[in-house]
Amino acid sequence: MYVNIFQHIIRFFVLVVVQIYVLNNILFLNIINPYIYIYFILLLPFETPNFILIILSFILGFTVDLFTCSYAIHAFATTFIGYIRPFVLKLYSPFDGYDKNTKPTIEFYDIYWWLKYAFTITFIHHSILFLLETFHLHNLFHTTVKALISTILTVILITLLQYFFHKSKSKK
Amino acid sequence: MRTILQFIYKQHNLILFLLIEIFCLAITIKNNDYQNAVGFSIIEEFSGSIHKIYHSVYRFINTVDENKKLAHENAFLKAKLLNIANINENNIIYKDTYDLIPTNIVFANVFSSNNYIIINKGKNDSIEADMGVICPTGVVGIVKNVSPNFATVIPIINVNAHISARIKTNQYFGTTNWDGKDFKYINLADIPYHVKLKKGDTVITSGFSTIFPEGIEIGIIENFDFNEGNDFYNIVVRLSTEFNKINHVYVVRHKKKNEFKQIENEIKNVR
Repeated sequence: MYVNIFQHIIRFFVLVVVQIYVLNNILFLNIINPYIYIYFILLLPFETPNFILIILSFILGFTVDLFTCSYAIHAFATTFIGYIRPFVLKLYSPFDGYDKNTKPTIEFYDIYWWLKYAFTITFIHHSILFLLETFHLHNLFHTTVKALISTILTVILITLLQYFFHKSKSKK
Repeated sequence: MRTILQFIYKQHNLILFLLIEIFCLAITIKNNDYQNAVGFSIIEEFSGSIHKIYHSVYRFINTVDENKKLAHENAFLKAKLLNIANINENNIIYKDTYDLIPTNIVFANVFSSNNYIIINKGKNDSIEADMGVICPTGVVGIVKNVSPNFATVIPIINVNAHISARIKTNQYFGTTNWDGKDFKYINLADIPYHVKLKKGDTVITSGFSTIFPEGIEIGIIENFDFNEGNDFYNIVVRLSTEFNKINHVYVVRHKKKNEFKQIENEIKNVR
């Protein structure tokens, strides 16, 4: 249990540092900017109480905001996905619900489930983020395309992370 | 009363969620008040010191490249100095009014629409808000917030940044604005369409304020057109500053800023 909490804390800091110093400095084809730090929220255990989920999401977003001087747009987007995560989980829940002692990873659930889950949450997050960033609607098409392509890249990156850190464990 | 409490208890997640979202929106929309409200300079000092650690590693890796660039700049400046001695005394006014404070960029975010840059000098090095920032190749931006050892710069590639610019060949002036898409180009507005333009004309700062000296290069005209029924051109300017590469910059300090401000205020009072 304590090891788990420790893992989550480490993951939090590693993701934030990678996001700020590596990914924010990469802009593929002028429009694609992946935000992988939300991987932290995706991996929180199923049994996390909702209000803790919301508060942790807010803290994650606000930390990123502090280091990118973006006021509170990341905090807004992450809090939103923190709030809707339980609903998304319910929507995609397997026939007999989620087992206790399992985590929301491809280790316990198959890749299709993971892709559906990750894509939905990432797309909502990116859309809100890019909309807030431009803060007006007249570039709506550009913003939507940017959100969609960035979402695809983010999902690919976090799925690769899953294979690196979770699939290998299950083979042992 | 009881039902209200029960409702709050039942919906505590929704209420918490809504409160946080309202808080975030308030900060984002009223971004200026926030900086005063939560002591922005404290946060800036903290994040600045962490960015500094990262930057020291980054700079170490890039030393060779940077030295080359600085050597080039030195050569360029020396050449300029020799020229000034040859021409006339008018050019020396420039030297008297402006101070350049050399600094390094510790963090630059140039890929989103609200870009900003953090430099490693602040109030202790007599840097104040609303000072211009330039680099060897051109204009960078304007200082916005200052903490004791760091300062935030709003670059010209920020959707909220507008600076006064002039076309070098025909002296017409307009305002720059950025559409938030590509960090290599900005737009120049307010140039009336009877003006004759050429692709490749240089765009420079107009010098209409104490922020930038006159004649600092902004970029060159890449493309222009005008819509029917509109009196002004849409001009696309290719920036001379490469924002994804900048490192050494200079903060421009106007020595007679207070005098200038005083005159400005007097004009306002007369009205």
